[in-house]
Amino acid sequence: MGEGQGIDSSDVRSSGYIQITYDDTIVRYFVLATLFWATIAFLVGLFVALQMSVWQLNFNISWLTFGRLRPLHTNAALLAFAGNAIFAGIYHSTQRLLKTRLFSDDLSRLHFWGWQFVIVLAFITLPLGFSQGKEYAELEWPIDIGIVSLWIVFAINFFGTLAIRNEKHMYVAIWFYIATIVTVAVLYVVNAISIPISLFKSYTIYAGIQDALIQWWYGHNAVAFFLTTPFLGLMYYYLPKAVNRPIYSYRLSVVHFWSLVFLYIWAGPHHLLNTALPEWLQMLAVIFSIMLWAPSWGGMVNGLLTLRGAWHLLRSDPIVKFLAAAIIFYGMVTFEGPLLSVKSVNSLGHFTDWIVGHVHLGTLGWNGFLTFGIVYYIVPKLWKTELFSIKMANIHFWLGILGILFYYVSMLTAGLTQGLMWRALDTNGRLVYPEFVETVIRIIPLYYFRAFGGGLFISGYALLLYNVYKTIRFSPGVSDETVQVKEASFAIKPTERGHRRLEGMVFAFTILAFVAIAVGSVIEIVPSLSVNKYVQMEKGVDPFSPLEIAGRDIYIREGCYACHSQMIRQGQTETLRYGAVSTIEESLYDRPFQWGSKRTGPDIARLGTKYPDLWHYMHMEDPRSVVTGSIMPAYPWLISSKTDFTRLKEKISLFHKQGVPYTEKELEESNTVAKEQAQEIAERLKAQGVHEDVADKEITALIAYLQALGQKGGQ
Amino acid sequence: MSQPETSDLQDRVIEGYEYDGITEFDNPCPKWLMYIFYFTLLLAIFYLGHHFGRMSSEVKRISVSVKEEEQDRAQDLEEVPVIEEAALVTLLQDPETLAAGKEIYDDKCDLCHGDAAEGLIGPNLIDDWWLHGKGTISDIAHTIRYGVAEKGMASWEGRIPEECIFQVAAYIKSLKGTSSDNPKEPEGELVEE
Repeated sequence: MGEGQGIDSSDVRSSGYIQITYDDTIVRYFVLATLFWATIAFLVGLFVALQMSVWQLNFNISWLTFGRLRPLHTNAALLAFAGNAIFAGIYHSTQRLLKTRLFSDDLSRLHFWGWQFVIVLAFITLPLGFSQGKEYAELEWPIDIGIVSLWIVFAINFFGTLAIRNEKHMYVAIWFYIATIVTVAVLYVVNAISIPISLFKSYTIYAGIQDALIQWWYGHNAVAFFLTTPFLGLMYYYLPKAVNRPIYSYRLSVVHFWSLVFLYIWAGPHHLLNTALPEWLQMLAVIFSIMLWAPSWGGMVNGLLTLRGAWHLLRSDPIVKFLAAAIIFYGMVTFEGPLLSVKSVNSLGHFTDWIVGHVHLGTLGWNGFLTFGIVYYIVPKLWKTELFSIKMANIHFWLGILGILFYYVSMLTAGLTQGLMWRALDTNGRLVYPEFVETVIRIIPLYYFRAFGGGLFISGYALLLYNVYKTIRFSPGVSDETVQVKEASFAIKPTERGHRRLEGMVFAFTILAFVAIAVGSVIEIVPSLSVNKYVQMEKGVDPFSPLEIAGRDIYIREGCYACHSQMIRQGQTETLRYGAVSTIEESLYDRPFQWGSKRTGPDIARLGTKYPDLWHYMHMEDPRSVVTGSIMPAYPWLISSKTDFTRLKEKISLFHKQGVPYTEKELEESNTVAKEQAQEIAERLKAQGVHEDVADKEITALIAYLQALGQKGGQ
Repeated sequence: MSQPETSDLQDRVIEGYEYDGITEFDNPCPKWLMYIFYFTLLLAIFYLGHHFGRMSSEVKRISVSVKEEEQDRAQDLEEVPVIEEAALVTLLQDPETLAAGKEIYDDKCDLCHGDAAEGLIGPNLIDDWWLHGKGTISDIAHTIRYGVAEKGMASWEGRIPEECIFQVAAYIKSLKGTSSDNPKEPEGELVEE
């Protein structure tokens, strides 16, 4: 990142003015893409929310089931909605903060169209069941490569823009953008490393606890560096612009930026509290999550105090309403996060809808409202007109607030209710609600409330769409903004010390930001790479048989992990309900790990041999035939589709190369071994009354896997 | 760009740094926020010490409680009342018992054994053939209570209240000899009474 760009560093030429035309066209593109994908992300969310109350809503169609649409919803919200919003905001504000046009029009266009293309690929592949089986990282390897390439394009374009800037110092928003770009690249690449088996199937290189740790280091920090830091950067630009007030405290900006970036990265394992994860990692996650409270609130405080003297705008200006509410939601979420990271609170809230409520408070309240505020601010500017209707924007605001409150309160209540029911014991020390389904049926009314809240939020959003549409229609025509800017002097003034000096040094700043996020990452991840330290091999773990691996791939394809955990946590009630606490050894060979993060259905870590094969057969065909009141989808296509044995041998030999102890026979004759096991199960099913021969059907492979859960030793 | 109003506040704008019209005040970090930060630092240290100090005793406590749990269970097993079959048979005459048993059967058992106990996933319970025991009420109650893990029959101990186990068993016994359109073929040994 050249600092001078050939500009004479003596002050002579800096008195000259140059004319700059900002690239607002690309910003308009990204704004429209944001609105388009947000519509889809919200509607898919509402649809899957309704499936929780009315299970029939998948119409027995494989690609409409919850397990396949849930990744679509999360990826759409993350990559498509938040992603496009970030790019729009960053491209719009960076040009103005640095007084320069974007580095390359071609890269901007490539970035835009490439990103939309990748999203379309995601929309096709996820419902079809192409999935790596890791939350928020489901996309298969070719799409991963696309995303990383485009992120690099974005990075070059952004840092190129920094290199040609006409403003020596980087404003706080730019710091947050830098941290975002660097960290997301590191997170995404490290977590996505996998070995392809075919065009749309790959296995992560990490196994069991390693995979769990890296996945949640990624998952947690995707929230931190995709949904928090870029949006804080946007807040630092759009809030003072909207209210025309100085930022409350420059010093607070400095302190909370660095503390946030440094502390955030450590907190990932708080998604794995009370599990088989080594204790020291859990403790680090807890204490760093607690320490994250104040640095997070630094952003909220700086935002809200910037509003001092402009509070009257809250009454009249919908933009300020949205921004202020977003900041308050951010404060709520970043208080609740540390709270949920305390082990005892976590043992109650984890795996329940409370977590779903928590994350939606963040995405709908913080990311959603901030984006809406920015859209109402930016659209009239970009299209050279006034907002069509202030009143409509105000109604949108109130519908959105009501929607979020309905959503959050119902999910919090559902989570607490179910969490307390799971752990309720009677005076004899027995579970009061031993049947899991009882605890599900109890909270279904709350799922209706949640869907209603989501509906309110979306109806408000529909008003935004109409408002924007009308605004654009009344636009007199668009043109990119042209300004006269003074050429900057990049000479270092002797009076400039400390952080001020750093703000003029892009390269040094970026390296420091990288170091800040690398410290926690390295300390937490590197020890787990030599996982042997934590594993007692004498416990003896057998790998899944070839047929069970085939079944496991079906389990991953259907997204079963979205509703079922495979991790019995520490605690008496967990053991009473599900059996002995899960160990590190038990998932030693699991690529990817399937510990899960939500129990819409029960934990199945020790499901094997609990029910006869026929029970599973009937349960998959129609869950309600064996569990009254179940809300699980039916999977009739598993009974008609044939198991894919074709690449089984390659899969087994890939695992073998990674150290999984398969026998010579399993390795050489994977297919034969698998088919023999399938034949046995099919015969048992026949003896129990299944009429068709299902030896070569997917249901048989899946039953083999389910019956093997918790049966491979390692306890 | 109109000048931001600052007259009502004592804040001082930092001169010489202005980004697209945005300026910054030279305010310190709010004290109360810094106190929160220091508080969380102390809390973190305290939490660490507390946790690791307790860890060793925690492990002991858990293992003790597991042992107690096992003892409790063993006691429970002993406490299960041994009732003579002759006494149990009288339950068959009690319509309230049978109605209560039916209610539980229809809720929990019919999914695997069929609405008429004709057998489905689990065996037929209305014929004269029995897999586990000889089809007495106490045998049936035993199977309900402890399950048959290798066959996929769940243990209902703790999931059905103790007094209800005999009600279900009696209800099942009362069904013997009833007919069904679609009975599952006999399994186990023929028991003739």
